[in-house]
Parts: sequence; structure tokens; C-alpha cells
Amino acid sequence: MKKNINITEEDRKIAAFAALAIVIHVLESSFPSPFPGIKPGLANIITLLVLFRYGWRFAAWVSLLRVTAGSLLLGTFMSPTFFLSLSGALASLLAMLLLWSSIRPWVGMAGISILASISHVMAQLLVAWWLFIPHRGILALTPILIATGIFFGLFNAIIASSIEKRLTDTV
Amino acid sequence: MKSFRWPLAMLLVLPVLLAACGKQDLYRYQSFAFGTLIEVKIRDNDKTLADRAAADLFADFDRMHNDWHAWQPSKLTQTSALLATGEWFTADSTLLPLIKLSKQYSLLSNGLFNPTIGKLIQSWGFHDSERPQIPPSQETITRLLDTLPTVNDIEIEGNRLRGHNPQLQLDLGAIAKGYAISIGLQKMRNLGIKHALINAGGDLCGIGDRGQRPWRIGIRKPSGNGIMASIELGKDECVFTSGDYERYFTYDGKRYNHIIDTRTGYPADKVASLTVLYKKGALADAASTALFVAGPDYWQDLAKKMGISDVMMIDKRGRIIMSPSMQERIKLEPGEKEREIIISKSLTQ
Amino acid sequence: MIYDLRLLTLNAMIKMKVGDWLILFLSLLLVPLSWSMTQSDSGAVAAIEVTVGNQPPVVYSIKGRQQITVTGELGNSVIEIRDGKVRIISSPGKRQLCVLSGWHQQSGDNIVCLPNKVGVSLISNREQFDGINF
Repeated sequence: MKKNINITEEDRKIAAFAALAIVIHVLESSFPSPFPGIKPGLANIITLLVLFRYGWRFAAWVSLLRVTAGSLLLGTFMSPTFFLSLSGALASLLAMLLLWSSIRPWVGMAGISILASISHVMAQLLVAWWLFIPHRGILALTPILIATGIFFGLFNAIIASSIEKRLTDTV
Repeated sequence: MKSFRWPLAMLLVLPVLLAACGKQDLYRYQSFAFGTLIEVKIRDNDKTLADRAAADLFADFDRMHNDWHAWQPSKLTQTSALLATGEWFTADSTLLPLIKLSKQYSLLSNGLFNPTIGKLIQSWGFHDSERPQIPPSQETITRLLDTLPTVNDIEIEGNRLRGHNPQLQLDLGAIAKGYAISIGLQKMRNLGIKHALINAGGDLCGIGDRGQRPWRIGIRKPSGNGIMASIELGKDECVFTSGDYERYFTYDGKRYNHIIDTRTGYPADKVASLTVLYKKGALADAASTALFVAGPDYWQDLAKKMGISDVMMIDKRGRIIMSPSMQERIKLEPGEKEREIIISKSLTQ
Repeated sequence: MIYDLRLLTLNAMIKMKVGDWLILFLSLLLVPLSWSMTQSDSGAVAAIEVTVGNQPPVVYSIKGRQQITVTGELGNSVIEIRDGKVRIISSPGKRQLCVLSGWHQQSGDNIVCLPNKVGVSLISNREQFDGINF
């Protein structure tokens, strides 16, 4: 019995973007953050780009592939780090989907990226609180995490939009 | 255009919702009753009902305190006097259930909770409102120990009692408060209140919850300086602690606390504090005393016998020794992580 | 080279639509909001409630410095408030337990001068603990 696996052009694209995101993800993990829990989340640049070029389904694939394959590469699959990563990715995807499907004409990368970034950190914080550090003190980090989330959300959006501009110029 | 508003509206509403989470119909009451400061928290929609329930509780507590007083003239001292005569008499109807329960729990505790040793406690001066100063002589203690009454000296037949030891003097100090709190909560429940917390001088029982979360109790360090841990109460649960810091006096450089070991006649001095979690106030109260007296070598066996599985003991060196089920419930405060923690064997049957 | 300051504005770096601005401002609002919500949960004492006998409690602010004298069953108890902390300076009673217990600053805690029937409760808007066991 032989089964035909059809690899579409879209699959190739997803794989290529996911690979790019994974590289960023792994690179970012190898630089220690001066503040634990605070990271720029540069891999989201790819998710954003994909979202604007190919839509949210495509972005969801790239994002989830990145979390899973990234954790396999880093050896954190099924560890607390993985679940933190996954919860953050799912929450930010949900935020993206929400904006994308509702007020798309009125928002650009900046708004979507900021909201996705805040959702990301808040989901991670809540999961960390529920599962790993059930101490009230951890919730006191909320304002700091939201503030850095806004900053890096905007930062990533600026980078993504400038890449997007060049891609449109060249292609 | 169709869906322009709702995501933004959600953004706006979210903080409001979060802020609203903190709002409760929580009513606080406090008053002096039962010889201590009683604090009552009731979560309910009906303020009039809560007000009435709290007022009733304070009145009940005052009455019980007066009826059960161990050394000022009361129904309890009358009962003690009648028991000392060795004749049959009809017990006071409000006191009888508490005496029956005390007997049952005393037997359960192998006599380490003993409600009949008023004379011994008195000899240590803990029946005085004034601070006791001098420990009794060894002769006095030996004499009292030789004829030390036990609950077996109280014969119960229907509603009649007879004493078999002239030394018998009731002191329900290690059970009355827990019993009273549980009765108080039962009364509130009968009134239709589902969520309440009663704090009687540091011993607490709760029903229901705080709203969005259980009743959360901080456990004070034995040193008295700050909180060492916290615990979230179940839907119907009490937390009782016996500590060597509650009442004590210092004589000749030695500290004597108010929890007397019935085996030696001297204060139990191997434990700093002992905390018990249990559903029933009366048993939680009696067990915290009995296990404190039992000390580091015997508390685990006794807890098992008494059916108490959640116990935390702080020994004189500041170490925490607790049962595995207690460890699951206790959350140590961040500054307490360096404390040495010993997990005992499981206390469940 | 000509320096154009407009290059430094957000619009020069990224195209900001109405929704983007709205989201940016609303999320910036979340920072102080979440700050006030999470920091007030730290159990900081907001006020004290003084109970004498079975009289209804009286509330005092915890801010600044002040001394409060209340008359209980045996005489006067003096309560001192200083920068969010409370202690009893003097109270009639042989054992002086409430005076010896020193400063208190944990919300949900009580200071009790039992002989004089004076109680001081430390309360906060969002108490960390509903009661203190000891």
C-alpha cells in the first residue's frame, strides 16, 4: 500500500516561515535575559508578517510549529517551559484572530502586535501562577509585564512592517 | 462595519470587570465575647440577616462563656461541685452535650486532653486573671498527680451525672471555644447564611468561601512577629493552634506555659506551636492541645488515633514538622523557605 | 546630511491606523490600572478599627502619626499610629501582652488588650488574609 502525501506550495511556505521563526526562537533562548520572564519575542515578527501576507490560519500554523519544534530543539518539550510557551502562543494567536476577523480595516501591525504581545505575557503569567508558582506575589509583576509587552509589541511591529515594505518593493 | 465595536468595547470593559471582581457583600463584625476578641465575617446579600446573625452569635458566646466559666461561679463550677460530692444529679441540659463530647474526646486522646484537671491548672495559677508568678512545689504536683481525675471518673447515665473523684474539677478551656464556634456556624447556616468565618482569638472556623476564592488564613510565627504561612480553608473547616506563647510566666529564668502535661503535671515544653486542620471545631480544639502535649515523639501516633490527618508542629528549634497532607495545604511565606521542614509519615488510615 | 526630526515619530516608523492608536493608548492605560490593582493586593493596611467592649467599632486612618486614647473596662488604652504601623503604648492589665507585642502592620491582624476589652483590627481594602491564626 502506498499513500500519496501531497505537499502543496502552501505547506512549503509554512515550513519555510516556521523554520525562520524557529531559528529566531532558538537564538533568542540562547541569550540570557537580564530579567527573567522578559524577552522581546522576536519570533513574533515572522508570525506578524505571515498574518498580513497569508492570513491567520497560516500564522497559526507557523506559530504552533515554532513552539513545538523549537521546544524539541531546545529539549524543553513537555516541560514547564514548553507549556508556558504554548499558552503564550495560543493567547497571542487568539488576540490576533479576534482583531483580524473583526476590525481588520482599522488596525495595522502595531495594534495587533501590541495586543498579541500583552495577551502572550498575561497568559504566561497566569499559567505560571496556576501551575508553578501559586503565590500572590507573582501577580504583582503584571504592570511591568504589560509595559514591556507594549514596548516589544510595538518594536516587533516596526521591524515587521519595514520588512513587509521591502518585500512588497522587491516582489 | 458589522463588528467594529465589540473587541474594543471588550478592551474597555475588561478592566471594569477585573475591578468588579474585588467587590463583595462582605460584612465584618467584632466584639468582645467568650473572654476574647471575636471577629465574624459574613458574605451574604442580606445585610439585615447578617447583622442579626452576628448579634445573636455574640450574645450566645457571652452566655456560653458565663455558663462554662471554669473558676468564676457558673453552671460549670456548680456541676464540678456536684461531681465532687459523688452523688447522682441531673446535669444542666445545655452543659450535658459538651460534657459528653469532652469525655469522648478525652478517651480518644488517651487522656492527654483532660477536662477534669481544673485543680492542677489552678495550682499553676492559670485560673487567675492576674499573671501567675511561682510554679507550685513538687510536693503539690505529686499530691495532685496521685489523685488526678480522668473522664472515667464521670459516670453518665441518661441526663444524670455522678463523680467518682473528689478532686474532679471541670475545665473545658481546651474544647469550649471550638465547640462554641461550630455551634455558632451551625446556627448561621440554619438562618440561611452560606459563607461565614469566625475568628475567636486566633482560632478560626469557616463555612463556604470568601467569594472567588476560599477563606485565606495567615498563620502567625510562634515568635509572634509576622506571618510564616497561609492556608485556604475548605468549605467547612477549622484551623486551631496551640502555642507556648499564648499564656506563660517566667520564674527563675525558666518559662512556664499554660498547657499542662497530665503525665508529668508540668507544662508541656517540647513544642512551640501545633496547628490542626479539621472539620469539627470541638475536636480541632481538643486535638491541638492533646497533640501539643503529646510532643515530638508521640503526636503522630496520637493524631492517627484521633483521626486527625492535617497537623503542623513547630518545635523549639523552629523546625516545621508536618504531615504530608498538611504540606499540600500549607503555603509558606517567601521569607520562610529557609526553615528546616520535616515531613512525617502519612497520618491517614 | 539633513536630519528630519519627523523620522523619529512613530508614524514615520510604522503606519499607525486609528485602531492602532486606540489599542496603544488603551494598553498604556492598563499599566497604571494593573499597578493599582496588584499593588493594593499586597495587604497594606488601609485603616484600623478600634473595638471597645461590645460597642460598635470606630475606624481610624493609618496615615501619618497620631495617638488615640480609648476608655475600656479598666481604664485608658493608648494606641499609637505611625506610618502604616500600629502599637499599643499603654493599657491597664497585669500582663501587658498587647503592649509587649509591639508594632503590627499585617492586614487582617488584631491587637487585643483583653483585660481592658480593647481590640484593634488592621484592615485593608483587599485583605491578603481573612484571618490570622495563632
